[in-house]
Amino acid sequence: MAGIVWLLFLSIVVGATVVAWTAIRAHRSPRRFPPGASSALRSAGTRGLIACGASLAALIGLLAWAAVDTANQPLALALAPLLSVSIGIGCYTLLRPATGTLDEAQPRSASLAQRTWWAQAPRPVMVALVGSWLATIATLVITGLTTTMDEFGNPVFQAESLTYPQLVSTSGPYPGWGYGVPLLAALGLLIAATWLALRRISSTAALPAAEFARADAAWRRGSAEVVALIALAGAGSTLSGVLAVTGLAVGGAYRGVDSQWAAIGTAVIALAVVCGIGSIISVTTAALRSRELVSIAVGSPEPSPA
Amino acid sequence: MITLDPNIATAPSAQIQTQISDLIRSGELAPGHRLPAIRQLAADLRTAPGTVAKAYSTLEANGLVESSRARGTRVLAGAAHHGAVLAASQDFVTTARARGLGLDEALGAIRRAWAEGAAT
Repeated sequence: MAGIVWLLFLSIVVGATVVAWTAIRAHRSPRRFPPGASSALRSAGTRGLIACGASLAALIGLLAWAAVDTANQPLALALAPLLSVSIGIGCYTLLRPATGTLDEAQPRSASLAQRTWWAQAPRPVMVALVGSWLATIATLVITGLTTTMDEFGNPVFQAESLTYPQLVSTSGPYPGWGYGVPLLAALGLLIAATWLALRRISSTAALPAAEFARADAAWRRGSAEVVALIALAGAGSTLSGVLAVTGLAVGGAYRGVDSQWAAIGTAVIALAVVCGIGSIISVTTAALRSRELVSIAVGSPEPSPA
Repeated sequence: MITLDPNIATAPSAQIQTQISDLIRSGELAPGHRLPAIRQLAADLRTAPGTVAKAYSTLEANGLVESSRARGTRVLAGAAHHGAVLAASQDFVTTARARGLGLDEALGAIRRAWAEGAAT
């Protein structure tokens, strides 16, 4: 039953994102680029779609592993989003980009602007991405520092009341270092994969003619946005999971002890839902953006043979 | 943008160096502007990194740019022509074009005027 509710929720968020995207894009006039630039745009869009598909396939695989390996199920579930998007972004980096063909005797042009890996994607997306990384690290460190072990050795959260110091109330599960350290390592892997992919985008040779400058900027911006959005989805869904477990534990431990802290627990759960929805929107937008690059390429014809 | 033309006799590094020099002296590349990394420009122009490195070192020797490992290659201040020179050259080009002169003919007129100026 929970699975059906989850799938329904997922479908609604994905459907709403597609509708909103289509509505926003409907007001924009279709972009056309000169013949000869379409191969780079199509290649960028296809690699983005492959990265999204590979992330999804890896996620399904890791969830299947979690379902079978019940002993490690909680950790496998926690690691699945970060590992799956790292695999997807890794696939993007491994695929060779198209940089256009050039006759040996043909003049070639180049911009004198420095390309950097951090300035390719739109600034708001990069800010959200780095923010999600920092928020995930901070949450994992704070939960690690505030965790307590119960008599069975399980990580729990212990509430302390200033009004009733003798009262001890604990609630679990709580994401202690047992989850925090592997998650931090997986986040490090995602950061490295994202950095490599963005570096690959910025270091790829430009399309070799001045007339392709706009198309060159378009594929780079689109690709970097796709990579950043996929990475954002991975970090956001992990943050969502950690916050949800934290909120439940804090709210549970303080229920009947301190109403303010119990309300904070509820607020943390609400934040977890927001992060979860944001992650689904993020990965759906990445797929839509990739598809858009392919459709722009189709709208920008190849040069006709002489 | 700069263009590398394999069909002309000028060496590729000289083509790169001349065009960047012109952009700096005309003020189109402002002081402090960071030029692309050698690898980036070489890849974009489909030429060897050594060709771009040679052009950059000539620019540095001419006092137009400075290179450092941390800050990359940046345009130096004071390298642009005086505004009066830029304005006069623009006026000259407008007049030459209006009279139907090509670049070589216009440069010939400049060379002649330059030689006469040196002689007086």
